[in-house]
Amino acid sequence: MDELAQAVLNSLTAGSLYALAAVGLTLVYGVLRLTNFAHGDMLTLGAYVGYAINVQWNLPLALAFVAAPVVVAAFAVGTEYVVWRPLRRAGAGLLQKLLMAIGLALFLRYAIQFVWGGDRDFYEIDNTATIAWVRDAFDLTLGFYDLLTIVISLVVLVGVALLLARTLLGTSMRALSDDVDLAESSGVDTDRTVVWTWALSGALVGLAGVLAGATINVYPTLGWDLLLTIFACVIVGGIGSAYGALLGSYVIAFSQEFLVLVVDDQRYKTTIGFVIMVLVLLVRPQGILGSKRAVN
Amino acid sequence: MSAPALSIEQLVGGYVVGVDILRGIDLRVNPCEIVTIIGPNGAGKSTLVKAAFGLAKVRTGRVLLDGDDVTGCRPNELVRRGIGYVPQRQNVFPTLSVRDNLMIGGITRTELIAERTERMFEVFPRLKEREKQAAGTLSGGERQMVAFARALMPRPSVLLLDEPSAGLAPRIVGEVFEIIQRVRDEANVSVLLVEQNARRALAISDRGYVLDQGMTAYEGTGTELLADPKVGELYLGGA
Amino acid sequence: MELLAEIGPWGAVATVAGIYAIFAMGLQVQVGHGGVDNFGQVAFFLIGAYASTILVEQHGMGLVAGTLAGMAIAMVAAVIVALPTLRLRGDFLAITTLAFGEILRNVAVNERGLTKGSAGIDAFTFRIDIVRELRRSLRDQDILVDRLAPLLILTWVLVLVVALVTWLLLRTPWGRVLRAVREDDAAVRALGKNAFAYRAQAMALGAAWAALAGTLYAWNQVHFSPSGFEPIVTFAGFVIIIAAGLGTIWGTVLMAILIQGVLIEGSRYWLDTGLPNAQEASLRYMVVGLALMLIVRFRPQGLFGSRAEMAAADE
Repeated sequence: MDELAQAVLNSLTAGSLYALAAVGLTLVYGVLRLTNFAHGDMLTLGAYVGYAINVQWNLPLALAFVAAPVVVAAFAVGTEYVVWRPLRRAGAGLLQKLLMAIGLALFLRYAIQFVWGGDRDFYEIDNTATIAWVRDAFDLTLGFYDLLTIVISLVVLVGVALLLARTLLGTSMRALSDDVDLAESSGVDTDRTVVWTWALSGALVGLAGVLAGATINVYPTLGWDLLLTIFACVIVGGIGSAYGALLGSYVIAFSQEFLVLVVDDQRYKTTIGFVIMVLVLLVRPQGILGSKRAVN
Repeated sequence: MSAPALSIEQLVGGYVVGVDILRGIDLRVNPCEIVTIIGPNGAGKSTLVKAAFGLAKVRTGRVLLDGDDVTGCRPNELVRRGIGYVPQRQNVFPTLSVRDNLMIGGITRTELIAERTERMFEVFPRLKEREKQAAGTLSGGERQMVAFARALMPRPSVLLLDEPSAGLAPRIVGEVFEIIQRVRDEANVSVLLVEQNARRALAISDRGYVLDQGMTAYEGTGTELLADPKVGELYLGGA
Repeated sequence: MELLAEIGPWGAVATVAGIYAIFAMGLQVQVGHGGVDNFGQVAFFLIGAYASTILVEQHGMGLVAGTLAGMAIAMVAAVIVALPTLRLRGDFLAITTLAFGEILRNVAVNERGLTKGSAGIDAFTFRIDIVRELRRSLRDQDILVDRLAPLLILTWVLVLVVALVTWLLLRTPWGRVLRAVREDDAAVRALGKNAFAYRAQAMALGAAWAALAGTLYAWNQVHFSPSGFEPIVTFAGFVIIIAAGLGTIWGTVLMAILIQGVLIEGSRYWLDTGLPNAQEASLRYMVVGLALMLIVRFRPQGLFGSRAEMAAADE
């Protein structure tokens, strides 16, 4: 019983982290039909911005929750101007886009490794701190940074949902996901909307990077190792759909935490995520909430 | 004489370099006129509208909006300057609600969105009933209303309609032509219409052009063209 | 024969370049000719390395039999992977094949009973039994041979065999249909050919070459572990075939020499950046990533390919 309750808590933490990363990935896919393999390494960049602030400059980690989203958003917007927009204008096809994303992912990952080295590092925080009342009342472990992940993710994603549903920018993003040409013909400044989509995607994954750095630790393949799991979340929920990404993140997180109890081998967590993704792709490629349109 | 709302001068162009579908077209739409372009398949009707709206390449020639040269402007810039465009197919955002579709239409004139949305709901009461519904779930005729309303949101001076009756049930086709007339009367907008359904389109038009092989073959008022035996025989499928 | 007495560091580099030439040739068959954007080619490399090693070292199979068995297992695995995934859209295929590679690497790490996990596994039969015997008997005839020379020669003989076989296969009716499949599925179906089967066969052939490369990798490493089978191996293969140009055979061999050999493995011998080793290694892969981006952006047809190849790859 305790084992199951603990698994629920772990799933919530993991799902909240995945969701922050997955929503940005799926927004970029929806708006640009681009599978951004560099998304994971953007997460790593966010984690190292936290490392620079917290460890190298000895400042409070709280600053990183602002700085990392800004830096990663700036990087993402930079890739739009330097890489993606020229590639679209050149009329690039699918394989070209995939390989460009891979090239960018490699470049970013090894640039990070060049600057910060290949070792595992920790923030100078007490990440063994647990929430006392959860321990006393239920005899369960909920780390302080786990709770922070859940809360930040919840607040931020509610904000993103409001942005998408209520604002002109968010509606423009959804319009681009539906039909870029029609959006352009309706007067939407599509270039500007795309830039904002990158900024949002980068900011979310940058934030996820700091939280991953705090709850896991910091190393150059941190984001890459999470990337396939994040793809799994996005695909299971329905690629291109922000709510799908959110739902998919918790589906994957819960499946991982509970099935791993069945398999009885923690090391197969990631594999469980992949297997579920492959099964969903075979049975229902548009995912739980996705539209057929997005996958054609 | 006031400048035409839209005029196209000596337009040559198409989609691919070296293949000109349009081979020197002159055309004008006066304020508050409905002008129809008819012609056989492949005559370049849709291409002409797309070229005017920056979606096809103009090699030589000019597009003037209220006397200003807008040749080669991007579509969103043209919307800002007062052209509305309703493409032939897939002309609504299917996952967006009716209200959000209209909101996108008003994006170049955000200060007008609230007022214009209410106005569109007055013109198309059926849309008010479906305001929160995803546009993709509407019927063909309702979708056409959403598309018109979206294009009318920023108070355009010219509306370009690419075969608005294509793919609709015959029962609804008449309704669409009525809407076009109503829209012109209520919004004071000039309409340039491309239609396969040539007779019905000409019947509501002030003037018309017959396009053949990328050139203007005939020009006249709607009634003139309908009465012209040559036009009737060659382009309206006999008497 | 003095050439082989001491082959030096460049001999070792050339061996690795040859292994990658074979590996990339498999990817070329799949991507360049079959139109299957397989981002998990490293999985078959892994299968070749582990299957042949386990069969030879633990079950006493002969080296040739073990190698062929590794290739056969990889081909079967390729067909099994192809069955569900080939029907998927391009980017889902890429993600799924990538995930397949990662799943196998996870299994190799976790199933210690079979693979000895991250500790790694030994493939010493070739280096110890064959090479030692060979060198001893040659020494009796006063011929001195570097202990790395036999594998270098074997690898490059196999590069030529693989390239030639691939080149010939693509000129058979099978190769012509495969090419047509890549360009237009529907037209091929109209001819009564099963486009899916041709793609699956291209996948299997490419997997066989990757498995052969994997076995050579195992012999060259002697001791290897799952960390040698990260996705970057596949990506290096992509850099090679894209730089060469999709569809090219001999260009692939040349680019394997230039990119995997001269740039990735060899740069430590000709480029002195004055940086610590670890940073120099990072810099190398930054260059690889940047090179991939620049090629994709400015010369998607590669050095020897035609622009139509890249367009056809998108159907």
